Amino acid sequence: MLLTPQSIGWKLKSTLYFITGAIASFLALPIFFIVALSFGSSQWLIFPPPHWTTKWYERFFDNPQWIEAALTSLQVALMTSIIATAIALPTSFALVRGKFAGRDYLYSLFTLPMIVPVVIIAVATYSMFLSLGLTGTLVAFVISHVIVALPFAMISIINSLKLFDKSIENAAVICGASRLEAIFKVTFPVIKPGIFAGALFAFLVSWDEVVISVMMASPELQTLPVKMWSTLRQDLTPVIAVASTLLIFISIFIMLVANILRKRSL
Amino acid sequence: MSLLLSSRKWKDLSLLFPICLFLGIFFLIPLVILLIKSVTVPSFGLGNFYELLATSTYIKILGNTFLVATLVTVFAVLLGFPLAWCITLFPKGWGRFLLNVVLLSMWTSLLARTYSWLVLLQSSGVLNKILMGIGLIDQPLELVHNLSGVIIGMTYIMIPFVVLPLQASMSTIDPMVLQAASICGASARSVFFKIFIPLCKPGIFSGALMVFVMSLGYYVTPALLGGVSNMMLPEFIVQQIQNFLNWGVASASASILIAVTLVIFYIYLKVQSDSPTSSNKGS
Amino acid sequence: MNKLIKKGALTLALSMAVAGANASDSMNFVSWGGSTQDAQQQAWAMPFTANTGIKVVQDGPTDYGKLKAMVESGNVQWDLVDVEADFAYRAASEGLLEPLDFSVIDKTNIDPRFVSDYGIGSFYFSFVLAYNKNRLSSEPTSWSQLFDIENYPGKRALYKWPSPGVLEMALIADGVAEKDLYPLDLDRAFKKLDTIKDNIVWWGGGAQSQQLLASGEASMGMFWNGRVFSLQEDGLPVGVSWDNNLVMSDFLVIPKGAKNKDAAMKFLAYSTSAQGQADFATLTAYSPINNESSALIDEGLNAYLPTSYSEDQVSLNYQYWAKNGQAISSQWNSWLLK
Repeated sequence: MLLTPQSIGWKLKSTLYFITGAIASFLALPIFFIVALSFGSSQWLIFPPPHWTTKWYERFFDNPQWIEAALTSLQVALMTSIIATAIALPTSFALVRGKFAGRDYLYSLFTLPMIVPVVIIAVATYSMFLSLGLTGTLVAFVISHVIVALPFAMISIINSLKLFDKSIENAAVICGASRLEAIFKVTFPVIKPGIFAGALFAFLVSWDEVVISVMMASPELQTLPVKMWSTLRQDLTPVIAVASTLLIFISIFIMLVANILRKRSL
Repeated sequence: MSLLLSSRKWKDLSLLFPICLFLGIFFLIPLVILLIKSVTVPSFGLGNFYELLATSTYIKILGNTFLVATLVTVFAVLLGFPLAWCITLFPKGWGRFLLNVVLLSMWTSLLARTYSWLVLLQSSGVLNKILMGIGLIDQPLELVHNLSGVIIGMTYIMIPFVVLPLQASMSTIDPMVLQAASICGASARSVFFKIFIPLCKPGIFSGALMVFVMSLGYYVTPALLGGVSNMMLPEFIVQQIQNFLNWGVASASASILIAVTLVIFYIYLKVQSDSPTSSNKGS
Repeated sequence: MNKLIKKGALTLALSMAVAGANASDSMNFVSWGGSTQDAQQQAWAMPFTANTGIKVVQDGPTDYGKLKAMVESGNVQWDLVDVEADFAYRAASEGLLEPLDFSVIDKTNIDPRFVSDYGIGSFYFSFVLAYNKNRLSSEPTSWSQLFDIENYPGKRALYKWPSPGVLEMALIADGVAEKDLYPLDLDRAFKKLDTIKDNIVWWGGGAQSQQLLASGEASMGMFWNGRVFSLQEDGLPVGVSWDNNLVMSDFLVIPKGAKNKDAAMKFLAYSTSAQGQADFATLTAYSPINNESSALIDEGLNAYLPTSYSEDQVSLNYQYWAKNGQAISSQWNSWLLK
């Protein structure tokens, strides 16, 4: 009922198809539009453009900075995602399973990095890294990104841990497993989607972070959003659309590969 | 017994050690140093707060900020719910496709998506041309550089942040529970509202909370798609820091935002029957 | 010109690769990025490095918050920064800048409007009235027509930040004479702007302003002249009126405690020399602040430079803004949100 396709009527089913189809088009529209923009000849994003061209692609590949920036972004985002998840995991266990008072208040304390305007975090951490002499380093990028990514990872994991029925884990312990073993073999597999979603959020927060990154960047080290932001501010060139288009195709490719691997393993 | 309990407590608290250490050193200390400037710069006292609260401007900006965050949260949940439901309902075909669309949209650069919306929404933009072409409107609609631009752009960006946690919590719901209710004679409508929605509540809660607080501090999208007459707090702070080097006023306004948010959070905790941390099963 | 810029970018990449080898013969130059910085790189940094052997590392974009944080922390990584003129005065009054050494920098030929103890103009530009010809049946010739929605329909693109320009423009359109502009009559300016408030679209940066005008989203507005020039060069149907063009400038400043102060001083001297200014103007259509530069600039370009419209010019008073900007901005915000 309501959660298996067989159990809902065709009326509800077709309404659902229609509604979600509309929302999916809403989500997809700007993405396809970026692809179209990247081939438009107008530098000023006039659409439809006077004619079509691939000159922005030439511009993109003429400039090694874009590729370097993308690689830096990837590196920073991966490290951020791993560290944020590693810190968020024990935190979530303590907050959900713990029996001490004030857990809700600790929770809101840990979500503070989401509430404080990013500009403030950016200026505050930038001053700190300046006095430590770390600005423009990978360390500064990763630490400052972990700060803002942590709440995302934490909320996601807490959410799935809350729904996990602890008695299953207890059953494993009663059957002779150690608590740690039970957590690794029983609990983790069940809350895996939550952990994965948390890691993904952390990755994306870092991947898309603009305001802090602009502060942390140096001429030698910048991430993709920094490169895009400075390009957007000065020249609205469709090279940005090119960069986005390539990113879109990379993510489609990753999704396809993931799907194929999943089918094989079944 | 009490000894045992307290050792258990210590074990729980030790799990919090990494996060406290990390956020303490890299977040709280620098933040506090900056926020102290709200009462010390340019001179010691509450002058910055008087300056902010004496004019109606700041209150309006704060009001705008919360209005946008609320609207975005509502729309994102309304649009995200059917998506999450379908993804859970049809894990192979249509749902898989929807999930891919959500992921694809998340993977596309925020800046690029925002610019795409700018070109789509402007009065000489694609959307207006299409609407005028099919004769729905004769005057271009003003969709961007105002409140509707911010709401459309931000809702768009926030939808995945609702879908993923919501879908994660839906997938843990045992279909048999709903089945049982229906066998006991409950109508589809009451199964939906009385059982399904309450079971989804933790997912909706965490998704909505995440979107709400994210929206409060959002800068890029409102700055590009909004108009100046609905300026939000982050933009005001940027203006103070960038144009006027006025860190006193900037930190004062940030402190007020943090305080107001925490109060709202506190009220929410009191009103909401589920706490954000404790499990709704068992305990 | 594009080729030249490409060459500039290549040298930039090369100079970045060798930078840092020896701190004493390298310095950091910070500007706004994009084509302006490309031109600065090419017109100033390349010949300067060739002459002196001092490498110029390009950084940016200029960020005032970042600059202040550097000076306060004592770890200043920027040596020479391109900033807006009113900011240069404000930063100087807050003690964020190094005083300039006029034994290294020759200011005899520099237009006195663009010299202070803590900064020298890097170039000057004008806010001009520009319009999209496809959107209007007749061509506007003065700021007062910007307020005439009936005869000149469409949106007006104006600069979003409370900084020199928009308020002065409104007062001039309302009939205030140039000599009576300051101190600004804010009530009068806001009242004038009220008449078109619903028709204003605000732009926050040069690229956005170009996009508004080129797409026809705005039928007219006030723009930086160099941005209009590059639209015209692109063959877009854009017209411009120089009547009462409002002069604003960027300044080059050295943050207090800059590590390579001496190199920065020398680079500043070259940038503001007749040749450096002429080369930069040729690339951007912004005006040189050095009076000797005009002779070195190609005749054909002069029609696009503010220098050629000096009798129609109104100089914006950035010292007034440096002092009163904060107070004006709070009124500005409350007007916007009304």
